[in-house]
This record gives sequence, C-alpha cells and structure tokens, in this order.
Amino acid sequence: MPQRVDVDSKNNVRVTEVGPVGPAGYAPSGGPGESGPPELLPLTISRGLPWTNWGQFNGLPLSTISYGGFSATVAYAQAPFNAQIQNGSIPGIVFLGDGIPKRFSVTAFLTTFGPTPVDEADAEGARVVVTGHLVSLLDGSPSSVELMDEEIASVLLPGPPSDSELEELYSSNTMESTFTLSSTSAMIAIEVQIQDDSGDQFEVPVWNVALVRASIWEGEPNIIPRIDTDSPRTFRGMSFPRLSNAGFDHPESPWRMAATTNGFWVMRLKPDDDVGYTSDGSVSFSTARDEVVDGDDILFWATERLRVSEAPTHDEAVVRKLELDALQEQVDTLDPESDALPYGKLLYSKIYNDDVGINLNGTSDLTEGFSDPFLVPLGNLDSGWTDGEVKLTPPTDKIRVVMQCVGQALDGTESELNWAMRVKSTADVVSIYGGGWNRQVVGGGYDMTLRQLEVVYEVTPGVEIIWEWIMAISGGAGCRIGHVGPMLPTLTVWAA
Amino acid sequence: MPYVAPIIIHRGRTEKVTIHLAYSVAGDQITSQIRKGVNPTAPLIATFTDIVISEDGRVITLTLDDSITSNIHATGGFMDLKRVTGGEPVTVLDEPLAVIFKNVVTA
Repeated sequence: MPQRVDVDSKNNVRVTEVGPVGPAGYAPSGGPGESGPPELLPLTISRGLPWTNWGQFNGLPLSTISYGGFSATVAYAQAPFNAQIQNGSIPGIVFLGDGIPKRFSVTAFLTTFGPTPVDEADAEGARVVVTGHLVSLLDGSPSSVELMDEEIASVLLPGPPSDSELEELYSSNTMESTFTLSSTSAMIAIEVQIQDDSGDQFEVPVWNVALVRASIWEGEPNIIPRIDTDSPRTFRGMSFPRLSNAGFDHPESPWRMAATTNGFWVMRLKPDDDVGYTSDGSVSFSTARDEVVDGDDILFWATERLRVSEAPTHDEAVVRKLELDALQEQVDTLDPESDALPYGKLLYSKIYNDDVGINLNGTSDLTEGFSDPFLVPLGNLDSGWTDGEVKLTPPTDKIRVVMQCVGQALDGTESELNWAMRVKSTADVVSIYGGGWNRQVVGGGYDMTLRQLEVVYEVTPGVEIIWEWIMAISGGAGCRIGHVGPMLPTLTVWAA
Repeated sequence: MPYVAPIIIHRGRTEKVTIHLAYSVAGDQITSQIRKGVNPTAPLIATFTDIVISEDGRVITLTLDDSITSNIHATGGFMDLKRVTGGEPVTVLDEPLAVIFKNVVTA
C-alpha cells in the first residue's frame, strides 16, 4: 500500500495509506477503509475533487490537495470545491429507477479560520443551509422529489480541528434523506447557502465552507458507502478539476444544468428566492427553450439537441460537417469480412454521439437549426461524455481497441479530451487485461481534430471479455466555459 | 517519491516529534533513533527516550530532551520508527525521515 507522509513545521508527522487506484480506503478490495455499499454518485460529485488528490482519515475520504495535514486540509482543501458551490448547487446525474429506497446525505460545515479569517462575532449564528431536489423524468413527464430542505449545519470551527475531532465533525454535520424512484433516470441538485443569524446571505470566503461529501447509497444509514473502482460510472468526470464542470451559474439567472442521456437538463431551484448567485464566466445564455415546466419549486426544461450558435470558421483543422460525415461513414460501412480492414477482423464499431446527449446525426448543417444556449452547456459542463461496456468473445489472443474523437475548441480556448478504457474477463472479473484504465489527455489549443487512443490488450481466445470505456471533453486550466465545440466519438475493436 | 519536509531539531531545546497514524499501535513497543545514515550501523546521533502512545494508539509522541539535543554536533541525519507488535518488528515508515539540526541564539 503506497504511503504518504506529511511533516509540518511543528514536527507533526502524518502517515496515511494513499491506497491503490481511486480514493484511499475505497478500493473494492485491499483498501484500508471501512466496507460498505457502493457509492452511487459519480466520484467527482460525491467527493468533489479528482481522486488523485485523495487521502484518508480513519477510513474516511479526505481531499488532500494541500500539504498541511488533515486538520488544515479539511477546510483549505475544499476551496476548489466550495469556490464553486458556495450559494450554488451541485447538479449530478443518477440512474436509480429501480424502486429500491436510496439514502442521500450531505456533509458540510463552516469555519472561521483560514487564509482570510472570519470575525467570530460576525459569524455568530451563521450556518450552512442545504436544499436538495431529485428531478426525474417519469413516463415522459418531469417531476421532482424533495430530498431535503432548509436543514441546517451550524457548526463554526474557530480553528483547525484535531484529527480526533474530525469523525465527530463529519457525523454531527451530515444531513440525510431517503427517496425512491420507481423508474427511469433522475438528476439530483443540491443547493448550498451560507446564511447569517437572520437568514440573510452571509459572505464567507469560499475556503471557509467545507462541503465534504454528498453520497447516495442503498442499505443501512450508518454505513459509509465506498467508491467502486470497477464501475465506469464512478469515474465519470474524473478529470474535471472543479465541480462546476457539472453545473452552471448564470450571472443573472440561477439556472442549473446537467447533461443526461435524455439530453441537456436545465433547472432552477426556488426561482422566487432572492439569492445572489456567483458566476465565473461571461457566458451568454438564452432563455429560449423547448419546454418549460413549472413545478412546485423547480422550473426546468429539457432538450435533446446540441445547439451551436456559430459555424466553425477557422481555415485549417476545423471540424466541418463533412468530416463528421466522413468519419461516421467510415465506421458505419466497415465490412467485418473485408480483407482490407486496417487491423484485421472487426469485432465491434459504433459512433457514440447518441450516448452523450448530443445528437449530431440527422442534422443537415451545423450552421442551421441551432441557437445559442446549447453551445454553452457542452463547454460549461465540460461533460460531453460517453461511457459504457460491450461484451465480446475475441477469437485471437490480442485485440486492438481504437477510440477516436473529432471535436473542436471553437474560439481557441484550451480544451481537453479525456478518455479511459479497460478490458476485463467475464470469467474472472478481477482479471483486467492491459493494466486497468488507460488514460490520455489530448487536444488543447485552438483545434481538436481527429484524436485517437489505441490500445492492444492480450486476452484469452474464446473467453468472453468486457470492454469498458469513458470518453469526455473537458475544459483545461484557464478554459473559459462555453467554448468547446461538438465531438463525435467512435469506438472500434479489432482482433489484432 | 513526493517531497517530505524534514524534521527540525534545535540544539539545546527539548523537541517533540508527533507521529499521526491511520491505525492503532496501542500496546506495541515503539523505538526511534536518529543516525547519520540510512543504516542501523551508521553513527548514532540521538535516541528518543521519552515515547508516549495515545489512548487510541494512533498518535505517538517522541521527545528529545535538551540534555540530548545540546550535545548534537551533526548537521543532519535520518530517523524512522521501529514497531514491535506480537514480538515481530514491523515497518511504520516506508522511507526514513530526514532530520536537520539547527542552532539557537539564547543559551
């Protein structure tokens, strides 16, 4: 088990087991953490930070982006998370429509210490208010389930807690709820406000809000769910540096967005609330929409189409509709029996634009039929993604898996294409060919034309395998939101 | 391997090193020494004589008395921990910690 050691200026030596792949203590086997039911939220939503920065404390996952040890880290390291979440929301995507009750919890608290200390007298009575909603699409009709509302975590920490206080802190500042979905998919949205003692918005430096985790799981209420590192869903958005990659704050209108396989969903929590919302970009956002539903507390609308306001105009390396068509045609018309195929026998191929909530197929021209707002979600969400799995029985001892993606950063801002895949045997699901996930970051800069990730796995002929993948576009460092163009991923498997 | 800050020991001062572990070593025997090299045969600089384990077994406090630190002439060294549990010596730290000795002004 890899070990991490931090030494501070007071000669405090903190020794932690950083664990195998994934958050320490939450690997399905071998990790030191407590066992528990699988976490049902994607990792970036449930824990808020890339897993590469995770450590543990007594089996609890803690983000350790700073080097101050866990006590200081509790508050400081949440800054990337809370900078986006303070008085904002966490939209996520869940697929829980199985009729089984699920438990939902949020853990949050407020501190008065940090790089910009808050006057304790001013903070007296201040609290974290969490409002949660689950929005589902039942039989084609939107509806919402209130998870929690106006529940309050009010602990103020005058200074870094001792390690022994952390567990108690987690426990006393966790709000829980239970819900059941009968069918279909749903989106969860959590709104966090910091209020003063009179209920007004309280301005607190973002690093003084520790929103530690949000979890959904099945089973006993007191069991901490573990991250399932074998689930592609766990790593949805794993490369995203900020939670806002799954959300959207408009400077004037507190719309919240998320993408699902049903299309883009946009919602607004408590539209009558006079709550100031932060914004981290000057994104133009049209209120034009296909459908508006006015529920009890929620307005939202949905669409199934990616909409692009402007056609690409860059002269070179620009993704044009013809290129998208050509790529699609290339994959669709591959003849598995042909001797002329580049890598031998074709086992599987598909274009996965339909799985990312983006439907470019059937569009006659990218320059027509699109309006402004739907370019924004893709870039802002940084989450045009696809994931899934395919079962195959390879005829050879090697297979070659090729993932391709065509995309573009429309205005030259940085963007990234992140992808990962692995192949494992169904005969022994712990046997992963090729060393687990293979991951690359490609793209960036002005254009992102055809990118390809190619991995050859050694397998057992005649033994069924599962090939899993994740592919996502995300904004890189300094990427302003709303500037990543369309992507068209293709996936092929060859008997190499 | 990620950078790990060194332990700082001031000569002529009583110094404490506190080890926080994610597991319990309650009931185990802990010893610790500082040597010039990463080798049990390297010249010995100091031995932590006052070692206290917390009730939950997750915090070990090592103390070097000023009577010991006053006589340290080395500029640096290395330390680790030896844990004996069930009669077996086991590793606590994967890698030794670097130790830097500093002078003080006030006698």
